[in-house]
Amino acid sequence: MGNIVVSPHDKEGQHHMMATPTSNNPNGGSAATAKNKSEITVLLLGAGESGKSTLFKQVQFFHGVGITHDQERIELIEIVRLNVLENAKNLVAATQHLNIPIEQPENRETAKLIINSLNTNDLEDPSWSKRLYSLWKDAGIQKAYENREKFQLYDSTEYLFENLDRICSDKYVPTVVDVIRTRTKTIGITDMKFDVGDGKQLRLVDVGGQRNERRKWIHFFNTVDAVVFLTSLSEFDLNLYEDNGYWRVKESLRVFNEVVNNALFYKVPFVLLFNKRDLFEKKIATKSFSKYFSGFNEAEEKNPVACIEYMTKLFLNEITEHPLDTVSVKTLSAIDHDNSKQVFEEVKQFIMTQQHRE
Amino acid sequence: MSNDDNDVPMTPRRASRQVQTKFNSRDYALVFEEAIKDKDCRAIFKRFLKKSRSEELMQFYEEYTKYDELFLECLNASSSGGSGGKGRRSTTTSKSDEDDTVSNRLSVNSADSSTKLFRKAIQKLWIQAQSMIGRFIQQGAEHEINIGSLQRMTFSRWQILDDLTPVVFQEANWTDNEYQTLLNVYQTKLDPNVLFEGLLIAVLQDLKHDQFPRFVRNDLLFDYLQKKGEVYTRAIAINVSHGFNVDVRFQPSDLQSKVIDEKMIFFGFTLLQDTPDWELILDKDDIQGYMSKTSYFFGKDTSVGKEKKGLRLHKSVYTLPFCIEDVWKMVCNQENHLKFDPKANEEFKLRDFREPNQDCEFAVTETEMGPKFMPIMKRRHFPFITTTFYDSRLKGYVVVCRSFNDSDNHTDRIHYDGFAYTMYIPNGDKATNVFMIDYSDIKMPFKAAILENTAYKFHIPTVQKGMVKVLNELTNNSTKNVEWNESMDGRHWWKMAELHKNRYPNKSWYDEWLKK
Repeated sequence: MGNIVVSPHDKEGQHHMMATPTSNNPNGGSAATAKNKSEITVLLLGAGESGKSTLFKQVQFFHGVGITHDQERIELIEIVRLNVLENAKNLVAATQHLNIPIEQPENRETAKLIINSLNTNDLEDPSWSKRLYSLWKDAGIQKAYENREKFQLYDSTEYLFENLDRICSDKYVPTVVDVIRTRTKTIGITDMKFDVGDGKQLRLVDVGGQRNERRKWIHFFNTVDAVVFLTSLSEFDLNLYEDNGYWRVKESLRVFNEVVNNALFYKVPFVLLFNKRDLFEKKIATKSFSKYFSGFNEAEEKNPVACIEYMTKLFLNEITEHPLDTVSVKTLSAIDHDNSKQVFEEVKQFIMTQQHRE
Repeated sequence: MSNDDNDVPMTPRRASRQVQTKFNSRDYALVFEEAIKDKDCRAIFKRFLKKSRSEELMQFYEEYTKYDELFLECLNASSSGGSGGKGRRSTTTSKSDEDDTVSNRLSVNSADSSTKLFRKAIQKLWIQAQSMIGRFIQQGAEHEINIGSLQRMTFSRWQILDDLTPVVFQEANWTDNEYQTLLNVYQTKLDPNVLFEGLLIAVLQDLKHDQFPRFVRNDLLFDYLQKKGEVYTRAIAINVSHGFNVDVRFQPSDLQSKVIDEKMIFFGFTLLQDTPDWELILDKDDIQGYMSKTSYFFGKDTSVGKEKKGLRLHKSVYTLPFCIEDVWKMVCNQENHLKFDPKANEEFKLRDFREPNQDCEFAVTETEMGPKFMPIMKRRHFPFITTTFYDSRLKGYVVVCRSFNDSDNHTDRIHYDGFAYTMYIPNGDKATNVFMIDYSDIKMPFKAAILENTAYKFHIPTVQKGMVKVLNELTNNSTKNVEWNESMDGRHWWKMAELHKNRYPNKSWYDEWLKK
């Protein structure tokens, strides 16, 4: 992996990274019964930043969708650089908030420019690679970064700062990994379709996860054949983007409860994916897990398997209506291509088998 | 000459074949900033957003725009009220200094008309703000946007500000001055940049990066653009069928500086090759003239009045039956320009010559010309930065001119904006093809394209014939080569080309452009 897939002009408008909604009606509009219908609609649900769109992008990539247009690449360049700037801005703002001074005077200058005037086009200039990297390595910024649970910051921060020398160049071409790592908040819904054999198509639907976005979910609950619910393992020390005083785990549990016990889903296969396993394992090595869960045995808190087992119980306890034999639980690192591919394949098999059983 | 398309930009014959190109909306990529300014295009985008359940972003944008306009109206009302108030203040103050009687106190209802207007404008603004807060900002609002902490900050600012609302609008005894002050304070809090700080940018960002990329690849848009046609599409979209960098349009602000860079050189090659909408206006013997049907700034071509109408593109292609060396020597000689194109070169002046430096990688000259095309027309001012170079792949010479901001000089003249490219490329051993592209707003007094056509149609053969005549004289009807010495190099064209040959040996900018 590394280099992007470039194919010649593709005027049909298919196979683009930025998927086009495949149907004019997001509700699917299919009147067919769940049995024998040619299209299986799978919803990706979960709270904000649980990794729905990351998994969606991965599925696009391993179904042969690449970055095909110059124009598309330019859009992606802007998104990557915007992520860099947003991370930098949030870190600088956090140093003020947390009262941690940025140590080096030249980094303070850089910070000022970031807050006041820097835009994505400026990052074409390679000198910004050095300046931003130096800011990133500043003891003040690093200290703020260590305390990142106290403010909003993307998971990709470290990755992007470590790749500045590529990103800050007029020759920069985003790689598949860059695209997977960057965050774009999903607004509304997006879908893609691909063949799964037997003349059937799987329609994967991605949605926004924040509170107001979730009100839109109900519009397409009717036509769903399976639900994949994502939750982030590494959010145990974080608060919500839309409500900074609200613990993310609590929110995820609440959303999970509402979805899994929804009467419309009684009969559909349900997959619970514990995402960001990679980040989670790194995090528990330095942070206390048991501090956030009073029922958890402190002695086990450095053991990821025990922690995940605990989380699993926590979530499964929320299920009051849905039959447990049609619920499957898995862990995932959505930023990891191979792992995503394997897990998604398992999810697909599970859903198909369940469909068959019906 | 080779038939390979990559060999030489375009022979006159090949160029003429490219005139008919069918418009296909799928060749275009919509530009976000332009698209959202266009009401009809916005309507289509909204239809798309509705289907993907994210229409609140566009609704917010539109309501915000309305709010912004209402705020402007308030500012106008406050300044007219303010200046009126100032005038009154002197009388009121002097009176109230003497005796502050009840008659000088004004109830809102009896306030004079400018204050009333201001109050009314503020009231309208408040109604719009309240509706936006209720629709988009408040938690659980019907079309709540998804912006996080900025949105919550707006809401808390609104709550504080709205505590003041009853005070502002209730009947009370205020002096006109006091009431104006209160309204002013209230107005600052309602300022869109204060109340909705950061929200517009955040909403546009989400719109641009999440849903817009999907929209620009959607059939709904392509069908719409196909129906609207080429002129409309070009006003809001870029032709990407030849790669993204081909359709580059300039903004007036690009024509300020005194630098020529590689991007501009590549742009010249692009203009030569990319012919989305050439209209052949002249086709005889070995001379062709083209004019672009549409303007090349973003925005619609509304050629009325004195407003910036956008650049038009002229292209002429002709052959001179002389070898490249003779042609190059001939055009390098300043004197000859006065012979083959005397009008355009009136009042030619060389202002400066600059070696390559930190700011500009090419040697350039700074020149001016002051032609008066017709007795009734005002004199033009052509401030040019020029460079020349030899391209090893084309085996010919390229002259690049660009205008710059010279508004301090010749204020009595109409200033030219634009680019001009001329390429002299050998066509075998005994002939040279000349490609001239003029990408400019020549600000002719006549608006109708047909008159411009006529003038241009007349101009090209005149120049071509003039060049042939001069070359015949200099070569004694092709019996000897053109003589050359450096004292003839009045424009430094020769010097610059030689300097660049040494500095960039064997370089081909054309080759590099092809690889792009």
